[in-house]
Amino acid sequence: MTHFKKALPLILLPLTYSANAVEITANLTFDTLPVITIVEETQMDFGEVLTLAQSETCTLSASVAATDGTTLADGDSGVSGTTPDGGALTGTCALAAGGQPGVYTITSGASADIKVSVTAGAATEIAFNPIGVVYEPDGTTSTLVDVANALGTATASAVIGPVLQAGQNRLIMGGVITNQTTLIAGDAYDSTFDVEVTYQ
Amino acid sequence: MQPKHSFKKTLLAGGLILGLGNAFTASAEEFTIKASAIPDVAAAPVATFTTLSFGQRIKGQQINETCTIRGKSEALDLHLNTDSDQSGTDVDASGEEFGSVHGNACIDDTTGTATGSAMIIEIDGSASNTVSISVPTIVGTGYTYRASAETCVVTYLGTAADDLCVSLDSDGNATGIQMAAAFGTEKTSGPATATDYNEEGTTRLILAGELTIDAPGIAQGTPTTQAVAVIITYD
Repeated sequence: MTHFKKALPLILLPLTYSANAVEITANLTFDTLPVITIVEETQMDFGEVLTLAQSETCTLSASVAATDGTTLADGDSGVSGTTPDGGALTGTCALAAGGQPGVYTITSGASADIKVSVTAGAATEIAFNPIGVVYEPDGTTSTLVDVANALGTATASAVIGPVLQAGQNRLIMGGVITNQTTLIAGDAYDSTFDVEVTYQ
Repeated sequence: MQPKHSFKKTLLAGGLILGLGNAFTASAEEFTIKASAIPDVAAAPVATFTTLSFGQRIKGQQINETCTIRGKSEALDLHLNTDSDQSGTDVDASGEEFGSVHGNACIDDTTGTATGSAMIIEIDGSASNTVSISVPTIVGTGYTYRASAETCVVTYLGTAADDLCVSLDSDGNATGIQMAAAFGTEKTSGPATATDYNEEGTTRLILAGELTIDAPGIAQGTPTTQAVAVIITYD
């Protein structure tokens, strides 16, 4: 009987353990791509060129080589400065003067594909249809991506110092003004357009 | 009077003998013995593999698209102390990096780079038991995290070139993971750089996973930190 009392705990104790568990917490982290910014470097300006009759048009070229897929030296494309190689006027306006294309810097996540779209604002005395190009800089040349049809894509992956850094593209904009009414000589007319840039 | 006196002496002696006899036969003592349950399961990140991150290039508006951290598919024997990796060699055949991120909800890492990171967790416990692993799915604000098939846990099988890294199922679970590999066998058949590693009573877990962007998405420029529970239980 005495031996039984001593042995009983030895038999029971190994049967009493319960399943053990451990929980370790890992911190999962991620950041979404940075907020895209669009900064106007140079305001688009047709100059004092509009003729006065209703329905007359004036077109400002964004680039002398505004063809999708064309490459230009960065210095000629406005990438390494704020004066692109464009500005020619066509139409019924005062052609000789020449205008100033708009220059806009788009900053997004490096190596991220972006989609650039431009749309016209509400017409006033004049209607403005934006036409332009986005440059994909690679350090020495820029590839033009046409946004004339209100849709373009670009990849911001190159480092262009000191003007453009990784994640930056240039948007060069011209467009077509159509008089909606008879204009008054000496008056200034404004219009707007919208640029939307999204990650693809 | 004299005979009566003699009787008393005899009675006292008999009682004394009886009392001594009772003391010997009725004695009881309690003795303490010692026994312990199997050791608790312990888990800790392996040095240099201590972070779980999808990086900083998540496309927060890619609704229903995914981004995956590559863990299992890019793990080497060196990472896991296994005797065979998933490609059957000690060399990363694909050239992609452990911890690299891929998918439509992030910017793909290029070959040889990793902007994300996967964790490796060492699990220590009883060699005589198997364990279950559970990494529950997390539904956050604008995203869902799943451990996915890129998360796996090694079961060392004790003979050459047969170790497995068992993927977690779609619910983030794996069961029956053994930690009882023979030390000598594994040590000699493991990678050359894994000297003095004793798998007996241990295993290793790769924690990677998949991120799905849920409507309405996540705003640009949003940093997110989310606790992920890894639960290890004896079967």
